[in-house]
Amino acid sequence: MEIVFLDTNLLYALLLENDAHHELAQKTIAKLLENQTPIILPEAVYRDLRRSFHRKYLNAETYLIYFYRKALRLGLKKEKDIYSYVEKNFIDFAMQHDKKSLNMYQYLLNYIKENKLFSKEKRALLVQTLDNHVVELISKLKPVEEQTIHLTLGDKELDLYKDIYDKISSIFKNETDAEIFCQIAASIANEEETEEIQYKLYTVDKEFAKIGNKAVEILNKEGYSINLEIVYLSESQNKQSFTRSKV
Amino acid sequence: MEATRTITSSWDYMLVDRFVNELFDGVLGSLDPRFSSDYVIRKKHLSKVFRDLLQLKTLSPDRKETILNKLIEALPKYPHKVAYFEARKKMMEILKEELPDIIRDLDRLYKYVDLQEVEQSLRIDLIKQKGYIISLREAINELILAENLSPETMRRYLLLDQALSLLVSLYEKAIISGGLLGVEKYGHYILILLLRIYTILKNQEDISYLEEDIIEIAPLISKIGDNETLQLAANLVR
Repeated sequence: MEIVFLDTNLLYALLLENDAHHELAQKTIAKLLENQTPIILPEAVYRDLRRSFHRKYLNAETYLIYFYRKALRLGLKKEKDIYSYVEKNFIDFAMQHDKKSLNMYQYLLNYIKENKLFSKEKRALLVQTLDNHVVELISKLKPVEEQTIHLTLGDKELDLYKDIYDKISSIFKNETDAEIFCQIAASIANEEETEEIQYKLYTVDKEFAKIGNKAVEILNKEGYSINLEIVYLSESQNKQSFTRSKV
Repeated sequence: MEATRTITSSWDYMLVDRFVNELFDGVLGSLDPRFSSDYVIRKKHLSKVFRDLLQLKTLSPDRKETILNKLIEALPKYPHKVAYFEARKKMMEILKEELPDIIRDLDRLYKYVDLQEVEQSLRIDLIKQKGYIISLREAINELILAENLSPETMRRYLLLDQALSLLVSLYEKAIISGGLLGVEKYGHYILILLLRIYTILKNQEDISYLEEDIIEIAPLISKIGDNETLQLAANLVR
């Protein structure tokens, strides 16, 4: 029996039609469903999405409020004038310092415009409205349907997770990769009978696959029993089958 | 920069000074709902029987801050519900050491009042707590819009306001769930957020812990995920 975990990049690929791996992700999921293979999305994947979204939102929100206050200090009073001033300075700032987040800056401007948050009546609640909005949005960044199983850590796995994280997290290129790997590894290490089950983690990130397999090797040498293989899904090498990464 | 720091620390001092009683009550109430029994105790004319418990509200702000400072030592370093449960347990142990007479009062409470009466008392307390959180938000809002803050300082207060927004939603959920059940379900999350906010206002902890707690706790306020929001978020972070 095979159980498949998905990483963050595959979640993005599934959600976004314009993602380079969208077709590959769709085909992969379709094939797994056809074979009745259980698919698991670790909580760490949703957490990663929430964290990335929140950071970008908070950063853009900070500068939005910063330029809004500047507009008020300049004596601008009309909603239209304030909006024009903020729009210009806010977007200029994004172009110069935070080009990668330009979409987020634009999103916040649209939200302000649609909800007339610079109008005289709504101005007093501007900050609270923006803060309520981000909390509401991140509260919805979690599993939607029952098509995939949702994995969260329990009491026992949390201790294992901390242990594994301390041992191995430094070899991953970032905290997110480490969190996702360690969550999956902890849940497998906690299972008593894993020999009949083949656990696989699918990713479209070649480096993550390589480091992850190395991490499994290190942990198993230390006496853990983690029957996990990180599988790199390659678009170019084989359109039909999955390519195993070289460790 | 120096001027910003002075403004910030004086605002932080003012906010803690103004809200320490409410924060303290909120922390105790989320640790154990029996701490919110003063209405029923007075209503049943049991003030003499539970004198120690009632005097809790009149402890000096300094004493309250000392207790809060001990409790924050038990705050978890990892944002996870199991870690939150463990922290709540540790905090109850700290309270037992700090307030032994009051804990004795709590232990004999149910000999005099029934669950339903505690429930009513608790609901009043939760509604009051929610009101204080809303007032704290207004004070922070005023600070963000009135003072000349650097973007870095502003980010800190925006994050605090987001935590407060989440707290308001959690209080609403706790009230709707009916006091006791609500505190059982959401109490440890409310507790962690309240204490985390306190540590930031006291400048005792980095804001990254609060950020991680918000990310961990926020999903509780929505029943299920939303595909449109997931797509929007994925699109905006890519």
